[in-house]
Amino acid sequence: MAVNGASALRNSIEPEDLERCLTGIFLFYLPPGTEVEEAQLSGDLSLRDGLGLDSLSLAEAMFKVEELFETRVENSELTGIETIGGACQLLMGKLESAAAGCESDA
Amino acid sequence: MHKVVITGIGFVSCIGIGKEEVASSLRNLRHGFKRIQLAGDEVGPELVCGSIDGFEFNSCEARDWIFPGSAEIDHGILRSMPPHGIYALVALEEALQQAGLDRSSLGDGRTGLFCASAGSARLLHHHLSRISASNWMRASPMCVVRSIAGTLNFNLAAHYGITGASCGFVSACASSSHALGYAFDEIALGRQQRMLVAAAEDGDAECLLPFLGMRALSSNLDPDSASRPFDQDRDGFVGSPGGTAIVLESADSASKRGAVPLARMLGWGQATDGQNVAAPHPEGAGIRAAMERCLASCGIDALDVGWINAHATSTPAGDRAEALAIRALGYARPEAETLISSTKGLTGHGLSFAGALEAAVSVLCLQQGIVPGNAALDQPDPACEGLRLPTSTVDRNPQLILNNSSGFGGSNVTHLLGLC
Repeated sequence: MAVNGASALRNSIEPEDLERCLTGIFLFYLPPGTEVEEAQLSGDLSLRDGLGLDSLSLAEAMFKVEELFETRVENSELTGIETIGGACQLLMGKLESAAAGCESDA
Repeated sequence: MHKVVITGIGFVSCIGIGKEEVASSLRNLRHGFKRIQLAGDEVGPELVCGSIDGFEFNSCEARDWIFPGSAEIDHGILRSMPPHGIYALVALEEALQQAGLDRSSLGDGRTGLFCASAGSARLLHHHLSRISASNWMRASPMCVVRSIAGTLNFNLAAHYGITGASCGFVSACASSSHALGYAFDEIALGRQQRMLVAAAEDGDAECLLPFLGMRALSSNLDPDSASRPFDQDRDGFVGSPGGTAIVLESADSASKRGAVPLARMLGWGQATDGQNVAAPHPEGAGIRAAMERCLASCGIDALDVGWINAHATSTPAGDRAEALAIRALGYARPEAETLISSTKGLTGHGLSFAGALEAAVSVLCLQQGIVPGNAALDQPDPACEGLRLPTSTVDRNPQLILNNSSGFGGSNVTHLLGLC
């Protein structure tokens, strides 16, 4: 899921592709023994109570996101992320800002 | 003081995984060395090193690791582990099984865990490189707990649900001997009923190659003679990865649950050279004092010891110092029947896990009724004059064993182990 989402993101920044990519990353870092059915996965699913990410797993996942998208998620932003959709919205904002910055530089 | 017994031992070593393989190697003086380019094909120097089949940690990503039982272990447990954590985990599972204990019985507050490792230099290098590449803006949350000294006790205490004492020990090559000594104290003083001691090292390029700078590694490329403790032609140690685990218990606790004691730990002693950051005292003053203090605390006469499981790593200075210290205790006298040997001629040097490995080997030898010979010993160093240095394994139960360890900073530890 993460790989397909990331591949699609190479061509354009579409919210649904970004959400697929982020969901795949979050699933990759779930703590041991956590089982999630695909039907449960949606943008408003809570990362902690719904998906089962603990604080360390969330930090690991966001480290991967930072590396993958060459961005920086501040501590204050990390604590404000509650759902997959919230994470997607935050990252989309960062990617759009970065893209706008590149265009104005050009 | 409570009597302390050992009810379980476990091994992941270059001479065997598990007691049976290790016992066979000790009996037949079969070493576990190979000629390896540690840093990768066509990179770095070729060396003789200990090699463990079935464990592959080529990637820094734990999901890629291969080891016995890897398919059954959840990634969530592995994600914070260094490679040597796996060695310790496998060894500890063997020791717990032998002791008749499972994870559910370890969180009672009466069971503690002492560990020894130098951390994972490789993972620290890996993570710091990634942090540096991000201009020090991003760090993996696992960087610290996977790599610093202490990673072993962090991981194992969490995995086994330990609620009693837990601690890591750092005194270089005496680390796990300190862990075992203080674990003995916890039980003898009645603070804990049971102690798990686990020790391990990555034993990879990042762990071993820095010793090249000290000229401490053997440059002999013949696996059959590179590690030759007490030999006059020895030229350095052979490094080895692996892990060991030991379960100690109060004799009362073991008896109540019907566990069979394998051996008794009678006591231990320690002393420091107090003169050099790395080199041993030229006459082994510290290791001599450690042996004397150990024997005095146990009320045992030096010549009643059947075997001294020497630290001797095959370095010129270290082996000479220890031999002189052993002679100073009277072991070269004609009436002395004590055998002296170093199993590092077979296992190489496990660095911080060496002391626990040799304590577990000592327990195994008490069980098997053997004293391992000095593998690859051809011409003894003149400093060993008068000492009984067997060159083949002797079928004799040593009854009482002194187990020596020495580490940087001149730290020295000796344990006394015996039959129950």
